[in-house]
Parts: sequence; C-alpha cells; structure tokens
Amino acid sequence: MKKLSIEDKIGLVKFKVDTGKPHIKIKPEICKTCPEKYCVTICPVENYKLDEQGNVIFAFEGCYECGTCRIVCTKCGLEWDYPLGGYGVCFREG
Amino acid sequence: MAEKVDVVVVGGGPAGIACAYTLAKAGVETIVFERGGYPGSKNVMGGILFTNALAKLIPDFREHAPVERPVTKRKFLAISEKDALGVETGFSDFSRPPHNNNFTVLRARFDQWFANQAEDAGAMILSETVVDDFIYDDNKKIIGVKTRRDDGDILCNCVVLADGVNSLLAKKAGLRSEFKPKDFVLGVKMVLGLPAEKICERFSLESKNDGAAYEFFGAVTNNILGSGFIYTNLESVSIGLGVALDGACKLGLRPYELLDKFMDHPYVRPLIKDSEPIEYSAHLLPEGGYHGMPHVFHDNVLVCGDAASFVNTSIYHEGSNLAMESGILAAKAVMQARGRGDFSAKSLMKYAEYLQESIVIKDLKKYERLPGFLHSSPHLFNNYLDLAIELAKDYFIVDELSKGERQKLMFKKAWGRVSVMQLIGDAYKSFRSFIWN
Repeated sequence: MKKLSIEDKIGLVKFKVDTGKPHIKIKPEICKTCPEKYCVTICPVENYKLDEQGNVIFAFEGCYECGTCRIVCTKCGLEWDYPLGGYGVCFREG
Repeated sequence: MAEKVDVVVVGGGPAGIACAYTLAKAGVETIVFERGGYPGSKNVMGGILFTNALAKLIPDFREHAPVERPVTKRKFLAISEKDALGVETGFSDFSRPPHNNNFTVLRARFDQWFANQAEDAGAMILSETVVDDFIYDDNKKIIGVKTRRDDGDILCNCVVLADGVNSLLAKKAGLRSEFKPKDFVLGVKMVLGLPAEKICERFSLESKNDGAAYEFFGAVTNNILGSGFIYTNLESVSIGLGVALDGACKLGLRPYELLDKFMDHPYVRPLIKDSEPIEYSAHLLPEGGYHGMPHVFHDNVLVCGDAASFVNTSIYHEGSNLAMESGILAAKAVMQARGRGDFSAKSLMKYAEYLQESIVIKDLKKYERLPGFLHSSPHLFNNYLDLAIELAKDYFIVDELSKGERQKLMFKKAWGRVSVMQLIGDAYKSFRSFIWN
C-alpha cells in the first residue's frame, strides 16, 4: 500500500469549518516559554507546527477535536473548547 | 422562561443512547444533546462492540444493527522491528450466535442506528448542539443545562453526562480533577477498503459471517505502553494503534508515523496489500482504570461511559459494553429517584450501588493495579517481548549447530538480558495485576 502523507490522510475526512472562529486558541507568549512543546509531535493531525524561529503555530482547520493537546499541555498555553454544534470533523466510518 | 424536561442526556454515544433508550421505554421524558451533525460523527473506536449490554435492550439487534462481522478468530502477537510471534484462538462456539457478544462495528454507522432506536422508543435526539455548562439554582444545585443555541437553556430534574472521554462538563460539575496524560491513550486508525472475499482469504475466514481481531504488542508502539490492532469489517479492515500519552510525548513519537510503520511491518503488509484508504481517524481513550474514575454522581447529575472512565484497561479492552451497561444503570437510578421525587446525591447514590454490583466496577476493580504497574514498568515490553521473539526464532533455527548447543546459547542470551530477581519481581507483579488482585 502506498504511504499517505498526513495531508492525504486528513483529506479523506469531511469537515465543516466554522470559518474565522477557531475553537482552540494558543497563547504564543506562553508557548514561547514551553520547553516541551508536546503538542507539536503528539497531535494526530499535525495541527501544531514550529516556525523557523521555533515558535508554535496552530491551525484549527483539520482538527479532530480529540483533546490530546489540551491534556498534554504543561503550561496551560491554550484555550480549548468544542466547535459549534454540527461543525468540525465529521467521521463517516468512525 | 426556559423549557423543562425530565432528563437531559449529554452525548449520543453508546452510554448516552443506552440511557435514553431505557428511560424513553419507561415513559420518561428524555432529551439527548449531541454536538456532532449526527450521533456517531465524532465517535471512533477500534473497534469491537461487546454486545452483552446491547442484547439486554434489543435482543434481536443482529438482524437490524449495522454490525460488521462477528469476531470468530483472535490473534495476539508480539512484534519486533521485522518479526512476529503470536498465539491464535479459533473456538468453534464463537462462530455461532451469539458469537461470544463480539462484533466489529464502524461507530459512525452504528451510533446513528442506535440513536434511531432510542428515538423510536420516544427519546428526543437533538444533534448539532453543544452543551457548554449547567444552570444552577441559588443553592448551587444543577437545575438544567446551557446549550450553545439561541434560547438554548433547558431546565431538567437530572443531567446524565455521557459526553465522552473529554468530559469538560464532569470537570465543570466538580466531579473530576484535571485530566492527566498518564490516564489516557491516543488511538489512531485507518479504515482500508478490501473486497469481502479478499478479507476472507487473507484472514482465513470461511465467510462474511466470520471475522478476525488481531492485537499487536511491542514495536507497534515503539515498545511503550499501548497496542496495535487489525479488525475485519464486511468490506474493509480497521487498522490502528493506541499509545500512552505520557510515554509518546516523552519520546516525541508521532502517532501517525507509528501507524505508517505498523502498516509497513512485514507481517502486516500482505494483509492490507492493494487496499483502498477510506478514512483516517483519531480519538482518546480513558485508561486510568479504577483509580482514574471521577465521582460518578452528585445532586441532580450522573456520569457514565468514557466520561466516567469505564474502560477495562486489561487485555480485554472492553469499553462499549461498560458504557452501555452504565447508561442502563444510570437510567434505572434516575427512574427510582423520579419515583421518590428526589434527585439529590443521596437518592442518586443508587447508581453507584448498581455499578458496584455490575461487571462495570467488578472488572475495573479486578484490574485496579494494572495501570499503575504498567506505568511503573516501562521495561516490560522492551525486555520481554523482543527477547521472546528472538528466543522463539533461535529455537526454530536449522543449521550446523546441534539443538543442545543452540539451546545453551538461548539460555545465555536470556540471562544476559533479564536477571532472575527482576524476572521474579515482574512475574509477581504481573500475577497480582492480571490474575489475582
């Protein structure tokens, strides 16, 4: 089986994006002080990335709402909530 | 003035729907709030549905429910980077109904069907509705919920929290402490399309009325706590793995990279060859066990399913049945409280008593030592699984060395890697954790 990139994998899933209304917000000043940055490696859809300066950048589109980032965050660097009802990820197999 | 119903259930998964179904059947006015577009749209499991609790509610579910295949064959395999060593079961009784109450399912489909049954029984299911908080009276008692809708306040006598593994509401109600990584496993999974005949051929199954469940330990999780799986559906296979959050974070493991590696393992590759990727999903599992449970009742509120951490973290990995069972028991306790006209904690304590008498708490209690033991023994997979595979491989090598010489080398290898004291210690702790609490 051909290996799929993470983008290809997420491309298999349906989303209804609440444009401009992220359900998760990171606090860059706090993330800057975080030595672990576990969110970057553990997020199953790679929504957390590091920019060239090593700052955490976050995109909420494509989020699976699994809650992992909220639990592994050691610095309380994010505000986490569910998206509006009916929005976000929509699994068809599950 | 906000509307009022008897019972609000938050979450349209197995626990919430089982609860709503039971209440609606008894004529209790019940509304289920589901945040997804439809029940199941946010839900993922491996997954095997253990149907012992479902059969109590809907004895003929097999004829109507979108279950995939009964699990008639199981394999448990230790894998290293390139090798595998396993045991297989093939109990012919399990090929006949009720199939040991094991069926593979795809949750987006199953949960929708289950919710429809509750709706037919008289429950109201309102999808696309997030419950954000509770409404309290002057005495700080819960008297309803705030939903994220216009005029979304609903008053009720009792709230049943079945809002899943990330139960923010259980925390808001003061029923649980902060979530800790050690109590959670992250699961990632691919559903891969394969024709039914190919599935039968590759997994040695006689027909679509037979199914396989393979569980993998060791290299699949980079030798940290967790496991991998392949389950056969009717025309697809579910392949995935779960890793302990704390271990994966510390090692900087990317879950989907582990999954890619697993899918490329020489033992796994031929099983999924030429399959069609259908869906990639991920979900958390509560793995805190007995000691990871929140308080499950208080004034006017009960917690069931994953929100209450009702997952048997041992090799059985039962969760769906414990969710449904707890939903049914929550409904029973609510009905009793309703009869008394008293939804205080004292009255709802009946729920905890029912749980204690049921397999939910009995099974969690039996394995109460397990999560602690596994977390405090990260060497287990590293030391024993790889060694077992290597020794088995050595045992079967055919070459110029005599069997006696070969086996002497094997002993030397084993004692070079594990000390007698450590082996005794681990064996004792394993015995206490898995067999005799």
